[in-house]
Amino acid sequence: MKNLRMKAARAGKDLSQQQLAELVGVSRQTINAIEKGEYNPTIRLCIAICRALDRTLDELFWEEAHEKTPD
Amino acid sequence: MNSKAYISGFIFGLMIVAIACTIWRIVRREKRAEYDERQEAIRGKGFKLAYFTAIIVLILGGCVEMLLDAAWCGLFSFAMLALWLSVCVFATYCVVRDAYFTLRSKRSLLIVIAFAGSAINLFIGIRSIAAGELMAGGVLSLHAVNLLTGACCLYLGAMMLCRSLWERRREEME
Repeated sequence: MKNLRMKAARAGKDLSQQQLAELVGVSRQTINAIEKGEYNPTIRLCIAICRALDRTLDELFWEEAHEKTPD
Repeated sequence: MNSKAYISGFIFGLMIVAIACTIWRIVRREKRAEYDERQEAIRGKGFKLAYFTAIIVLILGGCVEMLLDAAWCGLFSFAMLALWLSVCVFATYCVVRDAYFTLRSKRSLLIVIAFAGSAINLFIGIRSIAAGELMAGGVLSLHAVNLLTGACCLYLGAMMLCRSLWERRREEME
C-alpha cells in the first residue's frame, strides 16, 4: 500500500527523496520504495523518518482498518 | 605456461588485490561497506540465489561429465565457472534491485575497474586461443578461466553502467 502520508509530509517540509534519505541514512531508492509501498521499513527506520519529518509514528505509518486497500 | 605457474600467478594476483583493498580501506578509514536495511535484505536473498546457482551448476557439471563418460573441463576451470556464474546471479539481482552499491561507493570507479578487468582477461584469453592453449587433452584448460573472467567482468561492467545511466535518467525525470 502506498504511503501517501509520508510523501505529503516530506513534500510539506520541502525535502526531496535524496535529502530525506541522507537525513535518515538510507539510499534514495529505499525512501522511494517505502513511499510506493514496496518495502516495509523496520521500526528503527520508521522512527528516524518520523523524527526527520517532525511527525509521529501514528501519523505516518499507522493504518486504520478501512485504509487497508489493495495497491 | 604450466599449471603450477598459472595457479601461482593466480594466487599471487589474489594476494595483491587483497592487500591493495586492505590498504585502500585503511587509508580511507573505512570500517566496512555501508548498506541500508533494505539493501541488506536484498543482498541476503541475492546470496541465497547465488548459493543455489552454484549447487545447480555443480550438479549439472557432474551430470554432463557422467553422460559424456569423460571430462569436458579442467577442475579449476569448472570451479571458476561455478563461481563466476554465482557471482553474476548475485550481482544481477542486487544491481537490478539497487543493493549492489553502498551508500558511499563511487559507481564510476567500480564500472571502470570491471571494464579494465574485462579488457585484461579477454586480452590474455584471446592470446591463449591464438596460441592454441585453450584446450588441453580434449578438455578446457586453465586458460579458459581468463576468457570466462573477462566475459563476466564485461557483463558486470555493462550491467552496472546501464543501471547507473537508467538511475540518472530517472532522477532527472523526477
